[in-house]
Amino acid sequence: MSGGAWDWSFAAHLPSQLWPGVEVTIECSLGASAVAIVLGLIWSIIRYSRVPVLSWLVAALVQILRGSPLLVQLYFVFYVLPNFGITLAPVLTGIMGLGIYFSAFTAEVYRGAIAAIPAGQWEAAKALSLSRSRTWLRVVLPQAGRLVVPPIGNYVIAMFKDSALLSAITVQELLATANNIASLQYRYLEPLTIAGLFYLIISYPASRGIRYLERHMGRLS
Amino acid sequence: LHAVWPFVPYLLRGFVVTLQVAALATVLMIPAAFALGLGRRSDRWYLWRPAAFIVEFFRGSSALVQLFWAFYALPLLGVRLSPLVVAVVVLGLNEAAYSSEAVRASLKNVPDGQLEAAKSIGLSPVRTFFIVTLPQALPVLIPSMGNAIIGMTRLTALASLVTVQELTFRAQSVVTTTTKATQVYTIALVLYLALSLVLAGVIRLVENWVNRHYGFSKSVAAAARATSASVSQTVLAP
Repeated sequence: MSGGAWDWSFAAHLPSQLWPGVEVTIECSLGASAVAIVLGLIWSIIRYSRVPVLSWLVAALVQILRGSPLLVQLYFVFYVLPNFGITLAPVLTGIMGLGIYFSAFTAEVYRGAIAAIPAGQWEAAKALSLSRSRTWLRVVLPQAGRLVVPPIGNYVIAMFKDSALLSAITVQELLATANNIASLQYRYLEPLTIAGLFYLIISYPASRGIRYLERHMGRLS
Repeated sequence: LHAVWPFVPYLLRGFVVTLQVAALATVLMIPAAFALGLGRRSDRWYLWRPAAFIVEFFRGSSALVQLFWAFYALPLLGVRLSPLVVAVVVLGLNEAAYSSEAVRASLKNVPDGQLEAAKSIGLSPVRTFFIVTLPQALPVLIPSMGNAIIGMTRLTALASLVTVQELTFRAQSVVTTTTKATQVYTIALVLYLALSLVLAGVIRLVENWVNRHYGFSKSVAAAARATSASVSQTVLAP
């Protein structure tokens, strides 16, 4: 198509050229999800058990993570950690940064779900003289788990979308790949549009799926 | 810290730009969120379909990709905007797509009987919205709108990647000249944190004022907070 801004013959090759980036994006968002799911649970249990100094520290950490931009936090771990002798590959830094940021949000989800467990359940566990760990593992968490799935799913999708920020710390994910192709060929329209479509194609069905889960597993309220 | 001290005024001027971007984007975000939220509630297809499309479009892909697209690709289609305008419009609409869900949820909270009563005493739809629906939706809406505004201040950092010289951009360039990453990024983090804490305090005040002003009982206010908390948890992903 001559004269038009959009070049179809160039665009036709892009999906296969962008695919390695899609793989890195998925890898990063799944890795970050694992970090966020585990860390968030740890934060919420510490806060819930009111361990004296520790729970106060965790509350402050969650506040800092929620109160500042992800991009600045990513720069922080990427440029500051090496000063303390910790050098990680960009992908690992990205997974950690993204996961730690979102752990502050997943912690709130767990907290909401744990708070939604009726007090009678705790009392019953106590009456049966279940140990603390058994109460958590056998009574509270299995029930909270159901409530947690849809909102955590939403955050997994959010991590998938926000993984685009990892391009700023040199991770070769989808957006970075698109940018590279764009600046090499000096054509920005096609790579960025197709990269955007990739995000849309993956996250839209996923968010429909979460809405389906919400209807079937119940919402936190 | 001595090495970065001379750059603090430079960073603070960047913080002012951050405030500008956040304020302008919020000014765009609030009416856009209402337009999208009301549009999706409409039973006319030519209103709810475009509204639903815009919401899904902005929520479906990454804010950064949208920003890059508007910055690099839009000029190729003949639309040339300054980086600041690109940042304000894209971030404003992006956050509006998320908070339109909060608008929708808060309006759903107003009982249908109220609207029927308004109709039966002959109020026009516009008056009904402003004097019946909106005041009752506000207690639910304010906390989640507040979260959206705080989220906006975090989102503004992305503007640095399309050459807007706000706090993050300037922090980056100070780091490249001084190599004092720890100090510079700590200053940036503290400024962002202070901003979001101050905003959270202001929103708390507005919340209290609204609850007092519209005479809700404590239990209703608590229920409203619980609803909005769950909305902001599940809907307003950052």
